[in-house]
Amino acid sequence: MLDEPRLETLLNAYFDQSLSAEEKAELEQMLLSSARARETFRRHADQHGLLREWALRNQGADLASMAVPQASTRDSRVVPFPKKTIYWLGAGLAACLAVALLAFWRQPSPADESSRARTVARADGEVPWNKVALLAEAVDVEWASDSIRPALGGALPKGWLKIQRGILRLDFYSGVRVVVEGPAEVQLLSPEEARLERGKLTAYVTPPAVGFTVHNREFTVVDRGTEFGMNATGPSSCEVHVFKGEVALQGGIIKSGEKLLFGGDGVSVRDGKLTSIAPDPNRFVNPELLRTISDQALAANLSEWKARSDAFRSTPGLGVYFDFEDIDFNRQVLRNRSLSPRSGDGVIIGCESVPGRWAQKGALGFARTSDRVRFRMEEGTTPSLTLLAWVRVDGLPLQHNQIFSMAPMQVGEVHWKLNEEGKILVGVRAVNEASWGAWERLESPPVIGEKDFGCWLRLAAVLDGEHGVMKLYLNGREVASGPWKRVVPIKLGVADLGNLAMFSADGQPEPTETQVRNFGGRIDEFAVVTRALSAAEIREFSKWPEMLRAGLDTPAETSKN
Amino acid sequence: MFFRTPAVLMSEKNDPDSHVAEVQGLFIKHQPAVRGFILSMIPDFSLADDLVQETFLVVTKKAHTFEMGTSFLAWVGSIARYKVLETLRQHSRRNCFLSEEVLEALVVEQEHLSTNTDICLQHLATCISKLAPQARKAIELRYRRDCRPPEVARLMGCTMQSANVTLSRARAFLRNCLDQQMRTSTI
Repeated sequence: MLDEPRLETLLNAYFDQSLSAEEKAELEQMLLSSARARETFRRHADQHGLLREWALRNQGADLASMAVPQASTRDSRVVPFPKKTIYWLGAGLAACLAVALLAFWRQPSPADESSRARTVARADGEVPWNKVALLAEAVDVEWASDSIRPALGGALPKGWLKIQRGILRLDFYSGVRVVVEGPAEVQLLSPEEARLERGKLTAYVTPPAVGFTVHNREFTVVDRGTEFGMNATGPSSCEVHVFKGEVALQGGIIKSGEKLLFGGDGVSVRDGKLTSIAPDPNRFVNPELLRTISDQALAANLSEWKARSDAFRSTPGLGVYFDFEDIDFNRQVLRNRSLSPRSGDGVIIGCESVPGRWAQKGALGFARTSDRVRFRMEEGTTPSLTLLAWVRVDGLPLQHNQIFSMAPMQVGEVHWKLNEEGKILVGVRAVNEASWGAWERLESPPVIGEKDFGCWLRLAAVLDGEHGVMKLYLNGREVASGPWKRVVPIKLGVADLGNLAMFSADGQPEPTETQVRNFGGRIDEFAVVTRALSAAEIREFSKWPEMLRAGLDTPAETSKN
Repeated sequence: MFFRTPAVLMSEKNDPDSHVAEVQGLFIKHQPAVRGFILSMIPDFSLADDLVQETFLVVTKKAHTFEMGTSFLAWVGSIARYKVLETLRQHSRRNCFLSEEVLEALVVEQEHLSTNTDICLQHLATCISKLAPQARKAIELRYRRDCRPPEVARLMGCTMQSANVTLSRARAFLRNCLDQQMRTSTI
């Protein structure tokens, strides 16, 4: 009979290299005489190797964090391992570092990739302390090619905002609301400071933000608690209109001290000459007017979406289509709007009623571990499947942030999720085993990050059994594609939107904390199609209405970088 | 001798460097498995690191004998095993190594090197984050700083017996945690 506690002790001593001669003989005897002991040995050995690998990678990461990798440090040679730590810290640190980093570049682990993605993102200015304002509204905007291209509701970093046309409302972190009318070029310098190179700008400065400063070639406008407009019409012409309160003009054409302007005052500079003008609020868009314009644009967008949604209902193969409109909260029912449904309505468990892409559009908010929409697709299988969703990701706090799952614990089970690193994953269970290897999966690079939180994103996953391919899309663009080697028919059945569909039969393993995998955010449109949609069809589903498109299509472009 | 299809031969002939680079890439991908295999027979980190490196050099030298599409793990496993046995013979007096007879018995039953190491490492990191502070410190000292139990005890200000118990419990916790993570893994 195998003395397992004794075996554990001896194995620990073996891997810690502290076996005595007697203990070694005892361990060898156990290993020779017992298959179970050999199995236990292999488990310990695997763990020993994994722990060492973990340690080496962390050492690499620690060292890597001490230096920003430059492209020029890459080496065409492949040397796959960090040499002993002590060497790393010696005179050849730089070379060893390049070698170790190269090893990770050539074949990065998921964790390495994620940390590197974060590093790159930060190098690109994606750091919270670099942000100065929020893009609160954007109407009919056409961005210049060399502009920051933020998402609506996204944080704006320092840098140039350049628009060919349209209107923006920027809410500076200092408390100033600024409306910019295109064509315009505005440089964001800090939460309290901007530069107007071209175009119109109206600032509404609240008491906490007194001192807000706008630079121009002709002068600097320092606010003393007011509402004022600026119109830079050319390289040597600019107007200031003070509607309320007081501003001070400094520098540039103001040769010394400052010139104070009060409500009802205005000045114009043209070719170096300063003249007084009457302020004209009608020449500027104020926030109220912007809201009206914005509301009209949004109403038009919503109508456009409704028309498109109606047309989408007859999409061939559309088994489930939740448009999240007219949700029956008394009965907790989410209606399946497909014209050829392969499922009944959804049942809402938990979830909050929240606005969708538009204030008037319905959506469900997913936050609690129990929140989900449960539905049941009619029993059967399909060779291919496409999943489509409009989601607002509010954060990725969990290791698994499940968007959709279907047919738990059956061959052909489907999972679709985001992980904590911002990767999108889709998978199909190929064999009936509770193991990682039981799945065929596709994983995107990290494509969803902080800048996307709170923004509406269009996600799609295609499982194409006929061609043995899986694809993932973000905002209408393919972000991952890979072979589906062990093709199995996709199982239709019980499904959960926004959570993991669990199988509760006896004999299943106890749920663990890794099975807490609810989605955190909002969903306002979702579809299951029992065929592989083409890229063009996915782009069509992912279209933003024309009016806001320029302002809202940009997250995909920035996310990919 | 490996049989290589004409297409493979042609591609190697056209670009032998890229074939070598591809084989090296496979090695890097499976490096954790190779290291684990070597560490099971040579628990000394320093020696094992050297052996991983030597195995890589042999893999590079013999890359032309590997045919893409065949089992890389089986191929690299045989190279690593040869290097390990060579080292054991050089250090035959060291008590910390198991006898060749025992190692043979262990290797015979091991069909191939373990796969899924990337996901294992991900799960392991999660499990390590759940360790109690003292247990985590002991694991870090042992595996990151290559301290053996007497040194772990000294740095943690405890007895060696206590350090051994802490390490043993931490490993048991990590094994259970990893098992659970792998069992419940989905995609």
